[in-house]
Amino acid sequence: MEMKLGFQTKANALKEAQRNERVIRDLMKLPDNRKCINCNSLAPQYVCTTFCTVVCLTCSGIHREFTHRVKSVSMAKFTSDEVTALGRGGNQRAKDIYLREWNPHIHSAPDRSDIQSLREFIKDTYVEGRYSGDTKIRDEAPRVQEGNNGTTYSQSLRKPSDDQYSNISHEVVNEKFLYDKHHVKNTNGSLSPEEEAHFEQRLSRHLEKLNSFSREMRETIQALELKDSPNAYSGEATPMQEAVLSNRSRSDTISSTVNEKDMTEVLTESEADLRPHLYESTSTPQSSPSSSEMSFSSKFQAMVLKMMENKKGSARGSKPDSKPPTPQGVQTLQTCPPIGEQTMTSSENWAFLDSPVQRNMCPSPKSPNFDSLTPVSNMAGMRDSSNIQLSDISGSSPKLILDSWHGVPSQLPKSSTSNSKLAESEALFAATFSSFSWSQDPSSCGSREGVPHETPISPQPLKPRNPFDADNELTYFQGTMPSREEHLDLSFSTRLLRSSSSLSTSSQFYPLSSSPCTLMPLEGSLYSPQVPQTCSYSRQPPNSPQTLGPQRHEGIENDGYWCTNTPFDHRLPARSKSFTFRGNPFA
Amino acid sequence: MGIVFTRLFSSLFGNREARILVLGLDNAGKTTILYRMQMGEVVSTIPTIGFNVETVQYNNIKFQVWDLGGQTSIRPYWRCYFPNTQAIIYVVDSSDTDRLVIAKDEFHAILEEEELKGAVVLLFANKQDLPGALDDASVTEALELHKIKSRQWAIFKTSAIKGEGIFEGLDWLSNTLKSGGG
Repeated sequence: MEMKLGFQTKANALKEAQRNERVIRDLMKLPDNRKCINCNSLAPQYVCTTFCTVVCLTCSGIHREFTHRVKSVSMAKFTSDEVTALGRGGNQRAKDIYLREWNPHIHSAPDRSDIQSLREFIKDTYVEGRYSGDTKIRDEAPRVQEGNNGTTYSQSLRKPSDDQYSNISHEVVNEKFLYDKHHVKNTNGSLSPEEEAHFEQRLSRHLEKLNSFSREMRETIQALELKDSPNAYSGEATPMQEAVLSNRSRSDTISSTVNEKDMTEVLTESEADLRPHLYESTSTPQSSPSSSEMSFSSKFQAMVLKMMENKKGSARGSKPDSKPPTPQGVQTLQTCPPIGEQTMTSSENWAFLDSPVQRNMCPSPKSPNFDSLTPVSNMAGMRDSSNIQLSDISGSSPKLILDSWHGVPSQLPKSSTSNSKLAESEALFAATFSSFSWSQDPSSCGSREGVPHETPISPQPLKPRNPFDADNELTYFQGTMPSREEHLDLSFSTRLLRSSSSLSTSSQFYPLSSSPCTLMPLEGSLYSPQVPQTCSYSRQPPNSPQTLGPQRHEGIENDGYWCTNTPFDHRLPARSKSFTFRGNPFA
Repeated sequence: MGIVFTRLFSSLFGNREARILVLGLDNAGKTTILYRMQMGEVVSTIPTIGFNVETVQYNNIKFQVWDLGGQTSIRPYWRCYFPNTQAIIYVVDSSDTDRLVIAKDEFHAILEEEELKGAVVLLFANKQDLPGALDDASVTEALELHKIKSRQWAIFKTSAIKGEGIFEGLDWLSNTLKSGGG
């Protein structure tokens, strides 16, 4: 009789267990339970019985740190109480309770790959109830069992190094995170509601601007990649480069302080401010007829595209072999042989900077590898070098000789007055773009690469570059990091322009530094907008005393080719030397 | 000759090896203790599915420590790891008073195992840093350790997070194993 009872209870228990498992499997199929409540990972397999939520393995580990109970759906047995509680709870209800005030537009979703970020989120959500909207979540929440409310376990677990790391990465990675971290930090320190609201307002405003800007950029790039519009080159880009150049040559060193928070505002305002001037200048006879109908945004887009194409051209053209690296490279060269000739015959040796040739003969965006040289030399800090020659890539194209641009400002061809304003504004624009594209955290990259900030990039022996090398993109970034001085110089040139011109818009242009957010569309493209530097390699007298003394490049094989920056820097055995021998031309 | 010398040397200086299982209910802190022993630091863990195994050199003994997952459904698989085990480290979450009964049942089930007859037992009353954690005496009582017969055992108060008590336990273990307890 006793045995029979025992069997019955056992059978009942088994039945109950089976029923519980079935119920819980059904509950897991609810739409809200198909994703981890914290990180949105698919197919979560754990139940946090403390809050009756469905979480993924990673989040379950973090919940445990906070002494929340977790159970695996497949590896644990659930009691009937737990199943009932989960049926009443679940992710949907938990979201109503714990994430009631969580707004995806204001609060940043935790990065599922970043445990620290998840930990912060879980702590904010369940331990501190930040998004719950009221303080009584613990009473309201469906709970099976009350866990220990002490958080000492989890707090002691979190090492200070973790915090440091996350702080750094937030600063580098995303302005959004910067704000969020700021926000979190301040609310931790009992921020007043007004301040909090203010922060949130600012954050959402910035995000809005960023979104619109990135959308526009993306559309632009797509549109212009589809139709290789010749309209994109109405010829205004060149004077702008002069402007930058002339100011560059005047500038020595200057410190810049960039307000990061104003970047996006500047960017959006700049467009509006530029508009009238651009319209004004489109009526100049030099412009192509169709450009007068161009809206500002298309010009703006053209600028962006041009910057990108420059870079593209540079990527293609930077192989020193007698054979062009890609078919595009051939095309690039063949489409505009007259440029070289024109350049050589130019009385000022400056022709391709003011390239009407290019404007007329090479309107295709595929050919800007020559004019991309301009910012290169502009950036390269090789003012003393004479006879920098652009080496021919295919061997058949003419050599371009860029005379010493030491005295360039005096030799600069004067553009028409009607065009000058436009030129200046576009120069600023280019400067803006250049600077903020180069300055993807120049300090951190510079320090990572060990580039001394005070030395601008100087020529280096060119190494063969395989365009199909998988490392190209990476090395591209690594190798083309601008020194800080270039960045500063740009800022200086823009300031000079601002002060020297009557252009009210100039003041809006500030070199936008370390703005990864605004760079999103550019970064997304294959080529980074760090246009100029990779592209220009030049044949140079090996012992040219003006650039680098021969004693400076010992250990470096000098084959007579020079590159302002080789993307293979890190592969050179004498890599450290390659940085140390860079002289400071301003010293 | 060299082999003889090596054997003699290791027998004299006790450079021994021991296979150890870390067992306990889920969320007792087994994995955290394992990595606290191995690396001396707190790691972020997830529920163990399967096992973690690490080698810990301590007091001239090379411990091969197996940390097995403690969730309900995978506890039956513990027995797969029982053969040739010199010691059991049984970890109890001292703050989880609700499940102390389950912990007790599992513990005594382990002691029944034929393959673990010769194994010494070290108990860790873990999570002492948490408020409401029972001390070692209470855990001893809750686990009915007085029922243990013909086996060397010891219980230590530990906090894997703070790193307290673990190496005291290892000291006891190494001394016991050296004296032939294992």
